[in-house]
Order: sequence, then C-alpha cells, then structure tokens
Amino acid sequence: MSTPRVVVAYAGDERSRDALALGAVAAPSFGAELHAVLVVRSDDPFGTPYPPVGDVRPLTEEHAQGWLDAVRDLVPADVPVATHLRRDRSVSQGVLDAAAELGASLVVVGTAAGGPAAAFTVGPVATHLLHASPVPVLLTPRRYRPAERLEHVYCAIGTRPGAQLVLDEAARAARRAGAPLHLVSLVDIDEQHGAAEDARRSAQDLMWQVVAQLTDIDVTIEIGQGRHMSHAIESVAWEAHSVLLVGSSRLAPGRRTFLGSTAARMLRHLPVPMIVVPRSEDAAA
Amino acid sequence: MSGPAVEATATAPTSSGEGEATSDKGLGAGRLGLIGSIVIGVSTIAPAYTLSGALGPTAAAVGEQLPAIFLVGFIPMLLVAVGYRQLNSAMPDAGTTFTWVSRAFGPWVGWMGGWGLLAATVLVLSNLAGIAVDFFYLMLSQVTGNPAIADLTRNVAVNVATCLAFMAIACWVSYRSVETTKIVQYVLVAFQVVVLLWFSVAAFTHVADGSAFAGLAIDPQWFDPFAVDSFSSFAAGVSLSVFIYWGWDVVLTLNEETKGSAVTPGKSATWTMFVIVILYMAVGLAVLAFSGVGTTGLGLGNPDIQGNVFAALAGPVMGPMAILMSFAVLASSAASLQSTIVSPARTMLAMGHYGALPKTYARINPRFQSPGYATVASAVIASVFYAIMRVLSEDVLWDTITALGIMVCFYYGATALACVWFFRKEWRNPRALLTKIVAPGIGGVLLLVFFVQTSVDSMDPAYGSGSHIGGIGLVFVIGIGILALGGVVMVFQWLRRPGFFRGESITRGTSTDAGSPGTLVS
Repeated sequence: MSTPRVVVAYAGDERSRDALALGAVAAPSFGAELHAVLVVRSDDPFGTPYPPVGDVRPLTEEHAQGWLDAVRDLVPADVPVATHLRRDRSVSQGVLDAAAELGASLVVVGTAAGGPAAAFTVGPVATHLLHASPVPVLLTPRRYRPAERLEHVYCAIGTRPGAQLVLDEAARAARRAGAPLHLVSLVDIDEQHGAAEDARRSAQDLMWQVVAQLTDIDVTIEIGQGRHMSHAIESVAWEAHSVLLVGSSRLAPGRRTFLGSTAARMLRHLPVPMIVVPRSEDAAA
Repeated sequence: MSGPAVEATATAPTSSGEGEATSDKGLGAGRLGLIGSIVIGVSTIAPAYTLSGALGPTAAAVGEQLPAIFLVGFIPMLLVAVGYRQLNSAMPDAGTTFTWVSRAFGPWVGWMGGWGLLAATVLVLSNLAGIAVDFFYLMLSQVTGNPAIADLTRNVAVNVATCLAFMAIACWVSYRSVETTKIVQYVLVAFQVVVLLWFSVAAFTHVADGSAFAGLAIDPQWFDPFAVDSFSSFAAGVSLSVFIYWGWDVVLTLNEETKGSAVTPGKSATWTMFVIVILYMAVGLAVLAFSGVGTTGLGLGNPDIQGNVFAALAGPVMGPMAILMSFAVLASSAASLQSTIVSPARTMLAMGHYGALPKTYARINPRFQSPGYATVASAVIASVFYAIMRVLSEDVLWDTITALGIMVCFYYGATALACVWFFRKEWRNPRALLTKIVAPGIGGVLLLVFFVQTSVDSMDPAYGSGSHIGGIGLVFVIGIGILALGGVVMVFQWLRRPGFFRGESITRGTSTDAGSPGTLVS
C-alpha cells in the first residue's frame, strides 16, 4: 500500500492556518504525506460586475501562490509538505477534486470563529465538504494548538446501527498512529425516548465485541452521559492530543460524508478535532 | 509555479473544473448557451436601471429624436467594442483600459485612462444607489398605499442615510465575494424584460385610447438623427446613449476557453445587441408617445421627473401594477449595486498591483479572495461623493448620469485610440486594419469628439438640470473636476511612487514587439 495522503484545504487565512497545523500533526501521526491545496475561485459569468472590468483572477492567483509559498514556514521543518494551486468555480469542489486526484485518505478543513461557547462553527466550504466528501473530513477546532503527534484516538459509537464502518476506520487510525483507541458512547438524557434503551444496550454490546476482537491495540470504553450533549461531552475525560472519529448520518448518499444531527450537536462542545467518516454503501443494510 | 521553499511539486492550475460548476452535475452543466450569453449581456447593462436614469436626460437633450439617438448611439459603442475585444485577447489583464493605454501611450496617459474608468465606475455606483433609494421609498408607499412615504426620498437627510445603508450592505456582500448566481440572474433579467415590455404595451394602449398624457403618434422624424437641433444636443444625446449601452460588450469577451461558452462570441453578441436595441427602442418609443417632451407634468422635459423617469411614469402608465416596475428597478439596482462595487474595486486592485496606486489597494483578502481594501475604499468614495452631490444639487441623479456619459466617452475613447496605436504596425493585414485600426479609430475619435463637445457645453450653468457652482454648470464641475482631480492625484503618485511612471511595471510597446504581443513587465 502506497503512502496515504492528507489534503489540507488551505486559503491563507487564520482558520486555514489552524487546519494546516492540525494537518501537520495528523499526517506524520498516520504516516501520511501532507498536501496543502489552495483553490482560487473563478468568477461565475453570471456574476459579471456592472459595468464589466478586467479579470482579476491572475492577480488573485499570484497572491495565492504567495500564500502557498508561506506554507513551508508554517509547517514544522521535519514534516514534508507539497502545495497545489487550483481553480474552480467552487472552493469546496476544487478541494474534493484535488483530494480525488491525489488519492487522499483524509481532508482537513478549518472552522469559523463561533460564539464564545462553540469550539466549531462550520463555514460554507466545510459544510459542503461535510456533505459531499467521499473521504473522511477532519474538522479543526478554532485556535487549535498543535501537538507533535496524535496520542489518542476516540471513536463515537451511536445508538443506531451502522457503526461498524467508523469502528474499522478508528481501529485503522489507532493502529497507524500507534495510539490507544477509546470507544465513546455519548448519551444526552433529553434525547432518550423509550426504545432508545435497547439501542444503547446494543451499542454497548458492540463496543464490548470490538474490545474482544481488537487484540492488537489498546482499547478502552467510556460512556459520556448528561442532561445535555455538553454535559455528556464534559463527563468524558478527553486526553490532550487526540482526535475523535464519528460516522456519517444515514441520510448520506452512498459513500459520502454527511454530518448527522447528533454529530452536529457534539461539534459545538467538543474540545478535540473531529473526523467525520463517510458512510459506505453497504452500511445501510 | 512552485515556490522554491516548497517540497515536492506544485500542480499547475488545472482546468478540469472550468466550465463545469461541479463535475457531478452531469455533462455540460455550466456550459454557456446562447440564452445564457444573452442573459449575461442584458444583465450587464441593467436595463431597468439605466433606462430609468437616462431616458429623461436623453429626451431633454435631443427631444423627439430619442429613438434616433438610441440607434445612432450604438454605432460608436459597437466600433469601440470591436477594438476592446482585440485588446482583451492580445493583453488579457485585470487593469483593462489602464493597462492598455499605458502600454500604447505610456504611463501618464494610461494613468488618466485608468482614472477615467475608475471615476466612471464610482459615479455609476453612486447614481445606482440613488435610484435604488428613490424606488425603495416609492415601493414602500405603493405597498402601504401611503403616498407620503414616497416623498421621504426628497428629504436630504433621510435620502443620504438610506443610501449609505444600501452602500454598506452592498459593500459587505461584495467584500465577502457573494456573487449573483445563474438562477437569480435569469429571474432578474426575465422579470426586468417582462416588466419593461408590459410598460411599453400599457403606454401604447393609453396612447391608442386617448388616455395618455401627450398621446403622440409615432413619427418617422423621430428616427432621423439629423433632425436633432444642434450638434451640442446630438453629442449630449450620444454620450448618454453610450452610458445606456455601457456593458453589453462583455459578451464579446466571454470566450470559449475562459468561460465555457458553447456558442461563438460573435453570435451571442449579435443576438444580445439585437435584444437590447429592440428593448430600448420599445421602451423609448412608448415613453415618447405617452409623455411627449413637454416641460410640464409627465412630459419628459419636466426637470422634476427627469432623473428617474419610471418613478414618475410607472403609476400613470401601469396603474396599480406600477408596483411591479418599482420592484423591477429596485431588484435590478439592488443586484447591480453589489456587482457595481466590484468594478471600481477591481480597477483599484489592478492599479495598485502595477504601482499606480498605493500597494494597499492591491491587497486581496485570503478568506474571500476579494480586494478587501479596494472594495471598502470604493464604497466610501462613492458614498461621500453621493452625500456631497445630494446636498449640492436637487437633481443629483440627472447630473451624475450626464457626467457619467462624459466619463464613459472619455475612457472608451482613450481605450479605442490605444487599440489603434498598439496595433498600428499590423495595418498591412486587411482584417487587422479593419478590426484593430479603422473601426476602433473611428469609434474612438467620435467618442472623444462627443466628450469634448459635451464638456464644453456643460460649462453653461443652464446645462443639464441647471445646477451650477459659481456660474459653472455642475456637470462640468463633476466631469472635468474629477479628471482634474485625477491629474493632481497622478502627480502626487508620481512624487510618492515614481516607479510606475518610469515604466517599471508596464512598458510601452506595440503588438509587433519581440516576445508575446501582450508581454507586460510586472
């Protein structure tokens, strides 16, 4: 198997510098190459200015190349990084095309400054990636402080079927990073209605099965519980320098990511970066 | 393309995403067909807005020969557009007029050409915002049935405050690079065309049943440009009609490679011209037949209605459906307001890039990929200009439109002559002689003649709306004052940043120079 690749959606602004910092941690942790992709948006001809003036895209590209040239200095010296300048009508589509061409196995994207309470606010590019990416998407919390390596991998197990894929992905990530795997079940009591109890039990059964199967990595189980999602998340002892994997919603069209409602609520309170794993076509079964 | 400090290779910009918005949306999605090109062409002349702003002043200048001027005014515009296209394919550049004129005539003339372009786009921005304010209050009064609200626009403080608010919103939107999308543009253009045609039909119906204000029958004399009473009037009319056609030539530069056009630019340009001329002719004839050119009541010569004709005529012509006209002009100017801020901002960006303006104007915001500083600067300058003009003149819209016509003639004329001079050594090739030298040469000379004639005439304090400062017509003060200010700023720039004026960023040359024809040093 060739070296996996991590693609960072880079723009030269503060949030994408956070994403680059996280990419520069994630790539070596997973033994992957780091690629920074900057997409220069081409004008929509229907958005032609009135009255028409010159095409400024070449100037934008010149600036963009400058921002990409600065990438090397933003990444630790021992982490190799390649840069790519692309054009597209849509920044997120350009990132997805680059990820496909590079055969990337992870796309890293920054998030916007939310209110004081929210660690993540997903901007339009990240939103599109989260709803269309065929590869996992890593969301960078605002003001992410980089570690040297990812030392813990968390995996969120929901109360609905279809968790196997995100488990496999998490196990693979933990193995690659040589990090312990923590299985987490987050339950906010508000959300429990009757039959949920069974689902919870089955999720826990699944977690125990995983623990029994995964003999080659260090697996622990944690249950986060609270009145609200924020309390449930706070009740988990999150290790520093870690990442959380979550599965996509069952609404995801085949082999795409789709941020589910629970994951979206988690996002607002989560203290660590989150990877949204796409759903596989057979996972619906 | 790869920076020396970056490891591995940097891929050159790929063209895979060109034309197709997303590759997943099926074959050919995003390809521009004939209808798409026409929609773009019509949207870039903003017909509801330009007609509302320019019909009155044009009628004031040429009287009943309004249709003739609409036809004749198209000719220099077309001739210049041919040259514009040649320059654009030889030297595609963000600076357009500024870069081309600098290349042909050197940095001093180029700087003034760029200033003319900049001034024209700032003027249109402030005029557009002013029209939007009028229609905003008109529509509110139509919705609420309270005519007093429509008069709020005559209150200078309210008017200026509203205008600044509109400008701030438009600035914010274009700072964030929010573009009008295809679907919005289709709806806007279709809506404007339907409402304008509706207006024309309704006006002719009134004429037919005798309920029109003037109720004139169409007269062949209207189509005779030689019936215009003087060359001054003729020149004034043409410079205004240059303004109303301003922008359609974008369809000529929507070429296959860069914009994913599926039809030849020539074909779409021809159709766009046809659609635009028919539309303008229909509305022009309808207004003329309905109102006449009298100076009272609804006559087009009445100074009270001239700056914004549809605001006055839509009610009498369309009855209760006049609200559709308000909505059409408001929607068209609101959409244009955003895209109109983009114009001066991009020109400032290009001039900053070449060192003709301070470097801060060349800044690009990485998050939105927009010229952030230049965008805010454009909005601020246009706002301040509007506020001052509004206080100085009752008929600010009329005077800015007239000054705008002068400015467009100036920079289009300069561009056309730059084309002639840049390509002059290709004269032995008959095709080049026609499209690069003769056509733009005639067009450019005509526009500059109209520019000079209109400028001289506008010194008369009675010119245009009759506003004047110290006995000199306000239009002259605005038009020539802005150009003179440009000269001052230019000298200031030369003292502060002489590099550009020494030809360090754009070298003078011709199309036959060694190297690729459009080589620029930057």
